[in-house]
Amino acid sequence: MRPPDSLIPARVRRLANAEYDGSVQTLLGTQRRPASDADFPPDLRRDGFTVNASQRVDSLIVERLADAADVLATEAAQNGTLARLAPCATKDDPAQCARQFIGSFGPKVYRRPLIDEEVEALLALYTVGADGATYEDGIAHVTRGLFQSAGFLYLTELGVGRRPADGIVQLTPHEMAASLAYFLTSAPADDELVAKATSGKLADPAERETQARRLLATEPRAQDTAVRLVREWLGIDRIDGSAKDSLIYPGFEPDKPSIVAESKDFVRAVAFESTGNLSELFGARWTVNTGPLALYQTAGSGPIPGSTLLSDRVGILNQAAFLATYAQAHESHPVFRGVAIARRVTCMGLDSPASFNIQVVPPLPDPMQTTRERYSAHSTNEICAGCHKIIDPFGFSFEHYDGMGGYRDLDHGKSVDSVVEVAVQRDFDGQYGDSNQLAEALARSSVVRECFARYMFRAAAGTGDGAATPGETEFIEALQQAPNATRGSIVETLISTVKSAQFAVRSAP
Amino acid sequence: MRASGRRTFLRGLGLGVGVLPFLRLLENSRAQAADLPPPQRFIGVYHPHGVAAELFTMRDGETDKNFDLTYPDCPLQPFDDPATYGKSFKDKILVVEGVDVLSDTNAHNSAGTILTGSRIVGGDGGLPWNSSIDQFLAIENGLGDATLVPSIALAVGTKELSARETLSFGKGGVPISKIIDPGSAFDFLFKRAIVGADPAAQAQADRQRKLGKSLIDFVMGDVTRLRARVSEYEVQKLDQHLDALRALEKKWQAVSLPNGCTLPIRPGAFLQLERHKGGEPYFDAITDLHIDLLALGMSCDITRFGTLVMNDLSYAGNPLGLPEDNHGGMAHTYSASPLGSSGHPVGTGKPETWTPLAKFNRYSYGKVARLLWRLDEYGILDSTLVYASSEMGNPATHSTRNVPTVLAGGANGKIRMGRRLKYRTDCPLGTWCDDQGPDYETVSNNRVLVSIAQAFGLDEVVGYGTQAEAQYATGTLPNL
Repeated sequence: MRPPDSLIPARVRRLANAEYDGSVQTLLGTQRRPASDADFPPDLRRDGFTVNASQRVDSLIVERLADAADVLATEAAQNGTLARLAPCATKDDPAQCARQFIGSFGPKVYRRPLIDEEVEALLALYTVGADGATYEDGIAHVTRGLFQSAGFLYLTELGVGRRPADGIVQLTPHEMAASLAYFLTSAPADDELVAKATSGKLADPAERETQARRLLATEPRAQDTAVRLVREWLGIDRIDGSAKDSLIYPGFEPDKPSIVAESKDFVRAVAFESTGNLSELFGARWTVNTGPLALYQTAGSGPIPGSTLLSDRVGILNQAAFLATYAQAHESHPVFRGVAIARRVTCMGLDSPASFNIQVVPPLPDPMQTTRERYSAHSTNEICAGCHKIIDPFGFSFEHYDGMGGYRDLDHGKSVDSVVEVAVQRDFDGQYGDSNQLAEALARSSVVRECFARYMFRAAAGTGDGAATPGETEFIEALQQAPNATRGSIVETLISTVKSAQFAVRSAP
Repeated sequence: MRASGRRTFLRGLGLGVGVLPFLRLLENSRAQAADLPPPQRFIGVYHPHGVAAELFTMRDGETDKNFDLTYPDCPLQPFDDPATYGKSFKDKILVVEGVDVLSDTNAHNSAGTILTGSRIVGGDGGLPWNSSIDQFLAIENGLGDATLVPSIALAVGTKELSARETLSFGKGGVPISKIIDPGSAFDFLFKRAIVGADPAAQAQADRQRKLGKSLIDFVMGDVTRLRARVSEYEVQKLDQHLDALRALEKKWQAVSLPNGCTLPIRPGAFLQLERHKGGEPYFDAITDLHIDLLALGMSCDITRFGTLVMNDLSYAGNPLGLPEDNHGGMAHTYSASPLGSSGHPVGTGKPETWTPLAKFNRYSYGKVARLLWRLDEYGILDSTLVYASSEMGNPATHSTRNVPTVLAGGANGKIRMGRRLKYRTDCPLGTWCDDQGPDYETVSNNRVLVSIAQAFGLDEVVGYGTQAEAQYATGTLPNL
C-alpha cells in the first residue's frame, strides 16, 4: 500500500484567476474576464505557477468578487441568459421556479450536487432579492450569491469526509472530474465528463485518459491551458510584465508585443500543430510568424503554416522571451539565465546563496570588461564556485544575446565568448560553442524530459513550495515505464499526469 | 553553516526561549510610558533601493538628541524642511542605524521580512511564515475592529503578490492584496459610506444594503459549511475569508461618515498604473494621493492600520535626474565605503555614487514627511506610529544588514521620538564576518516589531517573527 506521506494532503484550493474567468465564461456564456481586469488582484504564485493551494480570499479580493458577481448577474439578467437558465412561464409559483433554477444551475456552479442546506440558503437569497421586486431580480440575486460562494470559489479535494482507516482519501467522482477539467482546460467539467463522473468511471485511469484526450482534442481552452503551463514552467510568462532601459534597448517596447506573442504561439504551434515534443520546443530551427522576426536572422518559410526558418536561433531558450526575461533592464544576466536552465529546465537543485551565508555582490559595471568577464568572479570564489560551476556554463553560452534577446558579436567592444563546457554528470554534458548548440543537447536530453514531467506534476498538484511534491517520485518512476513516444511529448505528459494513481487520491490530514 | 528551514515561531506568544536577557530592557522602555494610552494608528511604509549609509549616518560629534538633518545630500532632510513640508518633524522621528532584516534570501525578497520578521522560505517565489505586524494588530488582536476598514494595503505600481513587493501578510505568511489605484483606494475606504441625501437615493441605498447584507450572510454560511469539512491546517485559509467577509459586512452596515469628516472628490483615473506598462511617470502623483487618502481615512477614523509599498521613478526624464533604470543605474552602481559595505567588498568606495542614491532616499523620505505633515494637519500625528524601511542596506551588494529604519509620529509617547539610535555594526567596523562567527552581533528588525507590538499595549509579545534562532526573533529595540 502506498504510504500516505507520498500523497498530497486533502485540501481545498481557491480558483486561480484564469480558472475563475474560464468558469464564469463557461457557466454564463459571457465574454467577460473579471479576474483579468486591471483592478483585480493578481494570482499568488507558488514556484512560478498561478494555480496552487496557497491562494486566499482577503478583504480586497472579497470586494472584487462581490463586484464581479454583481456585474455578471446583471449582464446575465439583461442578455437573456438567466431567462434561459431560470424559465418561469406562468409565474404562478415563482419560488418553485427559483427552486428549479437552483436545482439545475447550482450543481453546475458548485461542481457537485447541492445539499439541502445549500438549496435553502440560496432560496433565502431569492426571497430577499425578489422581495418588493420581481422574480427576475430574485434570480439575479441568487446568481450573485452563486458566483461568490465557497462552493464555486474553492475546488475541494476532500473525498467524502470520513477519515479512512488507511489514511488514503479517494476524491469523489465530482472532485476528480473537476480536478481533471481545471488542470487541462482551466474551466469546469463539461456534461460528458460530469456524466462519466456520475457513473463512477473516472476512478479508472483509462477513462481519465480517454476524457483527457477528448478535451485536448476538442476544447479550445485546453490549448490555452497547455500554453500557460509551459510558459509558467519556463517562467517566460513574466515577459508580459517586464521592461528594459529604453536608452539601451529602444527596440524593446516596440518589439514587446511580438515577443510576448511568440512566447505563446510558438508553444501552441509545437504542442498542437507540429510534433508536440520537447525536442522540438528546445531544438526547433523555426519560429512562428507572430514573433519578433526583425530581431532574428530568417531563412525562408518554416515547416508548418505561419512559421519561418531561422538561421541564428534554436528553440525556445534562444527566443527573445526567455533571453529578455532572464536579463537585467540594461544588460544580459548570465546568472539569471543559467539558474533558469539549472532549476527549471534540468531540475538540478541549487541552494540560494543566502543558505551559505554568502553576501551576494553583483559585479559593478566596468566598460573595459565583457559581461562574462565580470561575472566570472563567481567561479574564482571557492564557496560560490560550487553552484556557479553548474550555473555559469549554461549562462555564458547565451552571451551572444543581449538583455532583450538581440544578437551580438561584441560586448563592450570585445568579442563575445560563448564557448562553454558543461560538466554536471548529466546526459547533456559536453563542449558547446553557444547556447544554440546547448539547446540541441537539451532537446535530446532525457533529463530535460523528466524535469518537464516533474514540473507538470507539480503544476497539477499546486503545492508550490519549490520542493518535490508528494508522489512525484512515484509518478516519475511510473512514467519511466511508459513508451518512448509518451516521454517528451507535451500533451502526453499532461495525460500521464491525470492518469497517474496520485491524481485520484489524497492523504487524510 | 546555519541550519535553514525549520522555524522558531514566536509571533505573538510569550515563549520563554531566549527571552530573559531582554526583560530588563523591556521593563525600562515600558516603565516610562506605563501611564500613557497606546497609539491608535499604525502605518508601515516600504521604500526601495536601500540607503547611502555614508550620507544617512550620524556625523562626528552628533549625539542621540543633538543632530543635524539639513546638510547637503542628507537623505533625512525632508524631516527638517518646514518650507516644503509645513513644519519640521525632527522631533517626531526616531532614526535607527544598525538594524538587520534577517530574511535569509536574496535581498529583493526581503521586503516581506520588514513587517513579518520572518525568513522567506521557498527561494525566489518564497514567502514568510507568519503574518505582518499590521495584520497581527488590526485583525488578529482586533485593534482594527473599531473602524469601518480594519486595515488597508496600498502600493504604487505593483500589485504583485510576492515577498519582493509586499508588506502586509495574513496568517501563514500569505500576501494581502494591494490597491494601486488611488480611485480604488478611495472606494475601498469611503464608497459604501457615501449616500446621497435625497429620499430616492436613501431608498436605493437601503435596498442595496439589504441585498448586500443577505449576500454576506449567505457566503459566510457557505464558507462556514466548508470550514467544517477541512483539516486544521486549512481552517486558517477559510478564517481569512470569513474575516474579509466581516470587513465587507461592516461597510454594508455603515450609513454615514463620522462627524467632521469631509471627503474630497474621488481621484480620477490614471492612464496607466503599473510598472513596466508605462505607469512610471504617474508614480509620484499616485504616491501623493495614496498618502493623502491614508491620512484622511485615518482622520475620519475609517481605518487605523495601513501599509504603503512605494516605488522608484524608473523612467526617462524623471524629475530626480536619475538614470532611467533606477535599479541598475543607481542602486547597483552604489560603491560603498566600509560603513556601507559592512566590510564586503573591501575598499573605500566611490563618493560620486553615494549622492544619486541619497537623492533617491531623500525623495522617499519626502513622501514619509508628507505623510507626517498630513497626519499633523488632521491632529492625529501624536497618536500614530509610522515605521518606514527598505529591504536592503547596501543595494549594490543586496545586503540585508544595516537597513535604513525610521520610526515616526508620536506613538502616544510610547516611543521617544526626536532621536537617533545607532547600534554597533554587526561585525567590527570595516570587516566582514559570517553570521555564525563569534564577532557577529545583530539587532534584527524583529525587535522593531516587538517594540511596536508592545507600544500598542500587547505587553505579552516578547518575540515576533520566524527565525532559525530564537534570540533573533526576541526582545525590543535596545535603548528605545
